[in-house]
Amino acid sequence: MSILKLVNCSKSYIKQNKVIKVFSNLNYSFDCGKFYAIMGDSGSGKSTLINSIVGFVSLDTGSIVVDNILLNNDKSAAKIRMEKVGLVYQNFLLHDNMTALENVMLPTYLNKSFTINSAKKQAIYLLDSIGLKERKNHFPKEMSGGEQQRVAIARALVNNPKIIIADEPTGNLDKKNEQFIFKLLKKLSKDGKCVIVVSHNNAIKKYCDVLIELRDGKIYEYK
Amino acid sequence: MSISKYLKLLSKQIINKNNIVLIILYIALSSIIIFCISYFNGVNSLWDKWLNNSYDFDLAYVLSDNNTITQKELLKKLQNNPNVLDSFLYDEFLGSAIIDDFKSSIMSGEIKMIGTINGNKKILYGRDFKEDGSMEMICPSNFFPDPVYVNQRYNFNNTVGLKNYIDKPLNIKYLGEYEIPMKIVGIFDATYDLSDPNICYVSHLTLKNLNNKYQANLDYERMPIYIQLDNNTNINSIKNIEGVLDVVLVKQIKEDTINDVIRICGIAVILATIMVFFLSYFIYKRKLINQYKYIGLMKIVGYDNYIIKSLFYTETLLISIISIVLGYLINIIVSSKFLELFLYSDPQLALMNISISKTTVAIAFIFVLIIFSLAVKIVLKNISKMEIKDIIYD
Repeated sequence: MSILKLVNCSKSYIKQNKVIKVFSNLNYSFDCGKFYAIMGDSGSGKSTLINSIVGFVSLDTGSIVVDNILLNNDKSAAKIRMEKVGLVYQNFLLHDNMTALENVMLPTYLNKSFTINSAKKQAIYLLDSIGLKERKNHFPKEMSGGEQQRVAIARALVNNPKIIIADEPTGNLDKKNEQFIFKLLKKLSKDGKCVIVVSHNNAIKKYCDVLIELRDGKIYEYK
Repeated sequence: MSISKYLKLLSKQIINKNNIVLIILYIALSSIIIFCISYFNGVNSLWDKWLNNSYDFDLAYVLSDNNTITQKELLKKLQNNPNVLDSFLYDEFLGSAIIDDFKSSIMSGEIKMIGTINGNKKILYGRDFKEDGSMEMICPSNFFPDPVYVNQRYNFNNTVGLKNYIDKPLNIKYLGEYEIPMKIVGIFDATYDLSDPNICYVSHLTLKNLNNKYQANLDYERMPIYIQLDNNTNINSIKNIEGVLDVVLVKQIKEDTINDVIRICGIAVILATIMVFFLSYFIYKRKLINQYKYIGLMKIVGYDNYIIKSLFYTETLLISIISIVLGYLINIIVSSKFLELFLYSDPQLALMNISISKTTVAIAFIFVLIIFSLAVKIVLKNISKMEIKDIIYD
């Protein structure tokens, strides 16, 4: 089932009076229950593409539809990030003054279906599922990189989004933690989520269902 | 977002060690501005009270044209003017004396005696002087018998205990030469009196007798004339009298002094306002830069600019209110001491009982709040301009 559609998407930058095309006329559909790996050389537009999907980068032309919501302004982008997409980045982006539990709970404050108590239960459940229940009251500085990334994934999952987008999630991790994160993401896709991961790491090929390569502004798909 | 969730998020944001520095700075700034506004307002209202209460403000010095009119003729004309309550020559106006009983290590015992009609002053203890030339005088409640009090640490509590001297004979050394028996018969309220604390009041006749007896070669034709008006606004009716060259109100001289004080306060308010605005702006800008990552991650998890701004804005509002309340409390404790230090060189101003009215506090509260809010509102505009990519890939 298609959850995310890219329709004629084009993006270019102007640098030193020169127009640099990142991608042009991209058309693609992402489905639920699949693990997508986006690969490509540096500067091929991988990060630009996923940042476009959540509204951090505006397209020159084309449209993006996420679970039937057309991304057309800041408000719809915020709604998509809150309800539909969970984001994970290489540098974890956790709040230093919040505990692991508070960091995971942060997105639930916007979600009307959660009370503070039910949000807390959900956050503890997620921390438990990634093996960090005992660390729930620890601050990010008291945790390893792998643990911080797991907290970031739990935060991305707390509002139960249909899509998980991760940009180089293992970039700052060792082999052991890298395996753990990929396995975790794979499990999420098996649970029915659409998982999109941007990575340079070839190890991802072992886990993904669809490999997408961005080259010369075009999408090449390998199943 | 529900109120409980909003408050939880807000509390997380406010309870932050970086905010302690911000609160301390805000307390200092609001304290300065509350002090300046209060003082500005206090001096202004006190000046109004003085205008309505002070005897000195209705006194005027009359400059006469000796070629067209004699002093005696002019005095008569002035006495016939309905706006003139009292008119007299200089020798009936001012004299000086030393009272030995009041001499001490810090006081020389020297007083000035001003001639006037009775009924001008509010008597607190004893009675007013008689106008029959008796050797009686009334002295101020802030009495301090030394003309050089200005250069000393003027201590209001270290006085002579004037109440004990009422109706007791005192020997005065008039013009530094003769010993004359004199009595203090009353103490008047000096709260709204602009006279120096070593000035006592006697009747014109008393002073005239003293000068006739002890001061030789008085040239009445060359002596300046003073008048007391029923109201200083009626000064023009005197200026129109034939033979009067000019009339100068004592008020005008005092007004210059008080205007200086008011001007300084006004400038202090303006400077404090500018300082508060720019400091708030820069402090908050710095705070926002420090919270760059936090704002970024809030955007990532779906918070829109409106909620982020409102959180920061509410935080500032609460911090401002806490700071203003604490600033006000500190102000109550330190401002009287500070005023004493600032104004001790002028006992008349130091005597000013500047009470901070509720209205003044309310005005200062709103004023400071508006400045803080305005500065923060300008800073918060930057949130919309923040490039989220810079935060993610920092």
